[in-house]
Amino acid sequence: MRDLRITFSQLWRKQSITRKFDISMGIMHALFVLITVASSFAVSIIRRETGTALEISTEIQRLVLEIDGGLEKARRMERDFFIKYPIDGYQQAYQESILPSNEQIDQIIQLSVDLQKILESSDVSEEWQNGGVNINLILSAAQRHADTVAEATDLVSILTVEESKLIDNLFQIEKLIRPTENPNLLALFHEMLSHHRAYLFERKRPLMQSAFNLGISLRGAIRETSSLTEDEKSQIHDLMGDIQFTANQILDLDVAIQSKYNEFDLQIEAIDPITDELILLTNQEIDAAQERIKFVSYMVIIIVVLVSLIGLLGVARITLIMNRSITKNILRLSQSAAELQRGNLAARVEIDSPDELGQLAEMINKMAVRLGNLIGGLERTVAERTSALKYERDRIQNYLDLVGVIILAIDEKGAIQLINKSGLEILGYEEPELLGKNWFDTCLPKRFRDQQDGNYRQLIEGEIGITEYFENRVVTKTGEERIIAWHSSELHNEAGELVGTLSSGEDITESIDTEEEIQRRNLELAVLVDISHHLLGYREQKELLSFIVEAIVKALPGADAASLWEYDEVKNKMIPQVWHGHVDDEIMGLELDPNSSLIGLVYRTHQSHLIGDTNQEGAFGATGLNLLDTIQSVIGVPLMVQDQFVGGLFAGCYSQTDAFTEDDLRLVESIAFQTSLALDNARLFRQISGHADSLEKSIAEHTDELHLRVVEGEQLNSGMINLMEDIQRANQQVSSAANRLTIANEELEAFAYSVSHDLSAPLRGIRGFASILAERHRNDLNQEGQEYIDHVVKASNYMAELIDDLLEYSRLGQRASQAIPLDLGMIIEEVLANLSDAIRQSDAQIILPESYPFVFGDRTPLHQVFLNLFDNAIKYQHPGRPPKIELCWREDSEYAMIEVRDNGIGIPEENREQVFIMFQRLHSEDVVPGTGIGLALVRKAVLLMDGEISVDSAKGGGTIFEVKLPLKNTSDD
Amino acid sequence: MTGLLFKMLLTTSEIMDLRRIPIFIIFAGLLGLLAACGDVNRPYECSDAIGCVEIAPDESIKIGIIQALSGQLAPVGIEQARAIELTLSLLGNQLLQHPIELFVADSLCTPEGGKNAAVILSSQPDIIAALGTSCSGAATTAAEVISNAGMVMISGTNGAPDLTSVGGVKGEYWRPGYFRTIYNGSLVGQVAAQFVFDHLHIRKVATINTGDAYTSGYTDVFAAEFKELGGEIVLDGTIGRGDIDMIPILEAVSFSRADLIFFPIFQPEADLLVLQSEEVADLEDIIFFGAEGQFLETFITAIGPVGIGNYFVGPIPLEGEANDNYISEFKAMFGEPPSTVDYGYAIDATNLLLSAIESVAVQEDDGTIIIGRQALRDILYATSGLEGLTGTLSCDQYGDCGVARFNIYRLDDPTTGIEGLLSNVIFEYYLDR
Repeated sequence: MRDLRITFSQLWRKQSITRKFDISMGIMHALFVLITVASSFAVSIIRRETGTALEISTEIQRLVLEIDGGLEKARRMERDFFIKYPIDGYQQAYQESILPSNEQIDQIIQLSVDLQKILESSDVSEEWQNGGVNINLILSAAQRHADTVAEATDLVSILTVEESKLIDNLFQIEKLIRPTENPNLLALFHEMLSHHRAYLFERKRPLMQSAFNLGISLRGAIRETSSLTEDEKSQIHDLMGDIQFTANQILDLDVAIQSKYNEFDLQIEAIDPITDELILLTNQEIDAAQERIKFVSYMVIIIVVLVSLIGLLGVARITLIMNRSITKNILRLSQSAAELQRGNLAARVEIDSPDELGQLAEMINKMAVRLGNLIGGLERTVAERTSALKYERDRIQNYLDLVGVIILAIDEKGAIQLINKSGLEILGYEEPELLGKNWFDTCLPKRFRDQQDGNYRQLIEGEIGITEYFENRVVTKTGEERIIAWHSSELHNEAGELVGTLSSGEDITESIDTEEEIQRRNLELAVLVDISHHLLGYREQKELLSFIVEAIVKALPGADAASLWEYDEVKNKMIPQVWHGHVDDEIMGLELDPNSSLIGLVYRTHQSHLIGDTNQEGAFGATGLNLLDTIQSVIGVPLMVQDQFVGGLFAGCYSQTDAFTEDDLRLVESIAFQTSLALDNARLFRQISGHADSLEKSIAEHTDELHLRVVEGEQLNSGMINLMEDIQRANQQVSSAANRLTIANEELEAFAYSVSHDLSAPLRGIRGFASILAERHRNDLNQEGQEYIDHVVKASNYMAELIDDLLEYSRLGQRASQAIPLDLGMIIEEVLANLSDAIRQSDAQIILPESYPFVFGDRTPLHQVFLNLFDNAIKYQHPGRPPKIELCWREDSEYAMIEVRDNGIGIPEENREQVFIMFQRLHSEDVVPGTGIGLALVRKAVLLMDGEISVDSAKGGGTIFEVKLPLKNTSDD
Repeated sequence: MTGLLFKMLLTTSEIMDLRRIPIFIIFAGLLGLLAACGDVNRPYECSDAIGCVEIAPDESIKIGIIQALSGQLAPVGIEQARAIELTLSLLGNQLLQHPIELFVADSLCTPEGGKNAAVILSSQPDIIAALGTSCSGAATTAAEVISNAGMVMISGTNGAPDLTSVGGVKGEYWRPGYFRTIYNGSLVGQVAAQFVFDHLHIRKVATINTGDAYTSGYTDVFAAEFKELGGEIVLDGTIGRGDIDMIPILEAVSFSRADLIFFPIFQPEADLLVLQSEEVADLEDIIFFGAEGQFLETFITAIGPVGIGNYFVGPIPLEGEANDNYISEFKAMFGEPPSTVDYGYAIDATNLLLSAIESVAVQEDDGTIIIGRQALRDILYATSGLEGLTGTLSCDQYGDCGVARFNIYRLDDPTTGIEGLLSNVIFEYYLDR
């Protein structure tokens, strides 16, 4: 056997791969066929077993159950017969019960025959064959039952006849005896009759015996009676004899019938257990058959499993052989190839087989040797060149890092290949964060990416040439945008293909911002100056307003259109007056409800609005007008004249959202202020013109009167005519002077507001940069430079304060008076809250009254008045003692006099008027900081509220300011 | 066998050796010859007119028992069954090297019960014979079924005359295959009538039966004989089994002016009749004359003092060593002695049957026995001079095999029970055939 195995092994090794596969597949197919055949054989065994055993038992069970059921049914019908025949009569009961019972019996007999045939077959089990006694009883049960029924019904038939005969005979005797009316005879007869009847009802023999006994007595009585003739006696005697005989027949028949009843019961007692046993046997047979089936099934399963196992073992064996001879070799080949791929050129394939796999292994081994030699040489060369390249790269990197500009190299896909230290610092990244990332996606603002990326692609694809110099914005890691000025050149590979760009970039953000800011400020200032010029020179209003909106469109880069709307108080409508830019005929002549739409927003709020996206910032209410509903971003500024809303100034952009900046808003506010002045001028002019007209009319009327008087006393009042003419001229002069004065004051205030407002913006820039310079680069300056920068900061702060005060002062004149009853206590409380820090730092003592009056005034100016007074009281404290400020008041019928007393340095009497003049200071900035506008502002505010202010010195030093304010609205007077 | 030899002699390699083939042919031939010679005894072919019962070596001889195992006469039936079992037990429950298997059926002491029991037994295909019944009424139907089934039936207690013969004439209920070891009841009736007429000098007798073959058979024979002697049967009454009220029949007896009532009936009707006779006028002096059915301790106890003076005709008590042995064995087997005197007839019936089977059985070499049914009947009818416990048994053509020997007893002291009754023999009768 061992030799055989060795021979087989050698033979197998010599076979080609194809032949090995063929042989293996052939054997496996044979095994599968074997398994299939075994399974089919097993199934046939099961089918045969199930067919035979179960079918027979089931059929026997069915027949036995039918026989049992049939017998029960037949018995029931027979019982019904015995119950019914005394009531319904023999014939009827026979028809209804016995005949169907006989049919049932016939069926049972047939079933018994069928059962017998099955049992006689050789297919029944041994249990059935051994149950012969029970089966024979079952088989004979039906016939015996039928015989018993027939016998019983015959007996019943005879019995009914005999009973009838008995009754007839009795009635015949009665007929013979009754006429005698012999009580004894009748009594005996009836008693006998009753016993006969009782027997027929109860079927108890003693009753019949009693009837017999009474019969004997009756016979004796009849023999002795004279009521009957001899013939009658003879008849009665014969009848009694017949009755006796018939009664005995009846008794015998009853015994026989009862015997049949008993036989029925015995048959049932005998058969029922047998049928039960048979049914149990059939159930057991069925169970046994099922068990056999189960057993056979198990055996079959075992057979199938065994065959399958054999098959599987065979397959496994074949697989093992295949594995050894083919699969393992393939795996060895794969492993060696993997090793070679990983770089292990020392790996060799160990296959000693003459087949294709062995040949392949030999070739791979040879190839590995050659590869090893080749790669070894290459590696040496690469190592040498890598070392040289690294040296050069390090040298170049050092050069690049020293450069103070961004050095950026990106490849043809836009990925960052090189960035120097300066670039990393400007962009705020670390090198690993940028290398390999897409330049455009990472470092350009979103709004420029697509365009820039598109341009770059075109460059790479040769559609366009490189732009050697350009400026663009980049976004740092923190989101800050920087402006970089780039110088770029192309990068080519050895084949001359464009593979990227190399750029140097200088951060020119600061200079651009400043330049842009200066340009913008210059533009704004030019616009404002231009507008101011127009305002100074009186123009027709419409022409002026058109100029204004045109100026807005020019000044705001993002504006497509500007418009001015006037508020018609009578109609309560907003009506467009002028429109420049994106204009539509539909708009002119329009009247809009100021409570809806964007245009009415400034009316509703009386405030300026910068709306970056009209779709997102709430519903303004569609107007149905395309021109208004399609605005993307908008600036709206109210026009206020004498604190009255007169209209709105709007700038809009239809093409994009977020088109305007805060600076744009401020510019429009400035322009709106100037426009308000223009509108107010026009209004005043109209008023004055109106007054002048009235005055002229009145004067004319008076002049006419005077002329009449003059006519009457012309001669007397020639001087009056002259005087009137003088008055007229004087009025005109006064009017003109007043007009000029008003204009001049207003111009002055407007100028002051305008200048201060316009100066605040650049001043903020100056302060900002100065602060940055002071904070960030202080250490870069020498001591002199540090002193200079401190001065710049201080001066700019002072200028800002000055401008704020000027603005506030000028606003007082611009605001329309909104005098309302005010609780002075609340005003004082707010003032002290604003000065809480100053009060705490100065350790000031504030003395307040327990109650306050309600004065009539404007909240904001009133607040400013007491704020300044308290602030001055704190600032102008006496050296060496903390401030003590006391507020008290008194009132008369019309005014409230509020005093603010302090214990400060006081105001000399000669300077008490001076202190209320603008910019007039009694102390220098260094002694007491301030702009010199505070008290001027206080007086102006008090005057505007129809009040008065005065100053006096307090006893013991200090100052008393008395502010007199009305207790009711003086305009009501 | 041949294959086995082949296997023993040959290996796989050797089967290829052709030189061994002639040897095997000769060997196989010898084996065949031996096999042929081994079949000396050819199978028995049954030629019995009715058929044969073939009992295989490992099978049993099946015998049926039909007795009243329930009801009022259960003591009689149970004692008969016990006697049969005892007899078989004493024989080791074997016959002809075959075990004997008993199949028991309850005849209920009624015709329908007997018929039903016989049907049950006859459904068993290989039952040879039945031992029973207890009551003649059951035998009237059972004998027909058993006979039709080809079996034989031997009773130890059936007394009804018409089961075999009356006055030498085939009885109404005679069936071929029916036998009895007890005496024919017709003799009892005759002897009783003679006794009443000759010894008691009574001329007017009332007979009362229960309508069945036994009681009416006895009363019919009595009446015929009594009339023949010159007496008068003043009343031929019948009461029903299960009747409780005996007053009417007793009134009829009173009307008839009978001096004696011959009432070969069973309990409880016999008890009621005797006891209720005291309630009927003019029956104070009436004499009751019963038969074997009343030879029970329970009857003696039931009637008590009222039964004093009652006459009984019944079997004689068995005596002798064999009887004593049987009684001892009976006691040992069942814990009590027999309560009647009928056990002897059951023992004789059993022995009679076994003897007959032994005589007719054909035994084959392998132990199979074949019993011809007709042959069994024939051998029984031909029985003569077979010594039994009750006497020498000889069977006539009608199946009467028993010894006609009985006594007339009178109950003088109920307190002495059956034993006292049996000791008070008034008249002895023995018919030597």
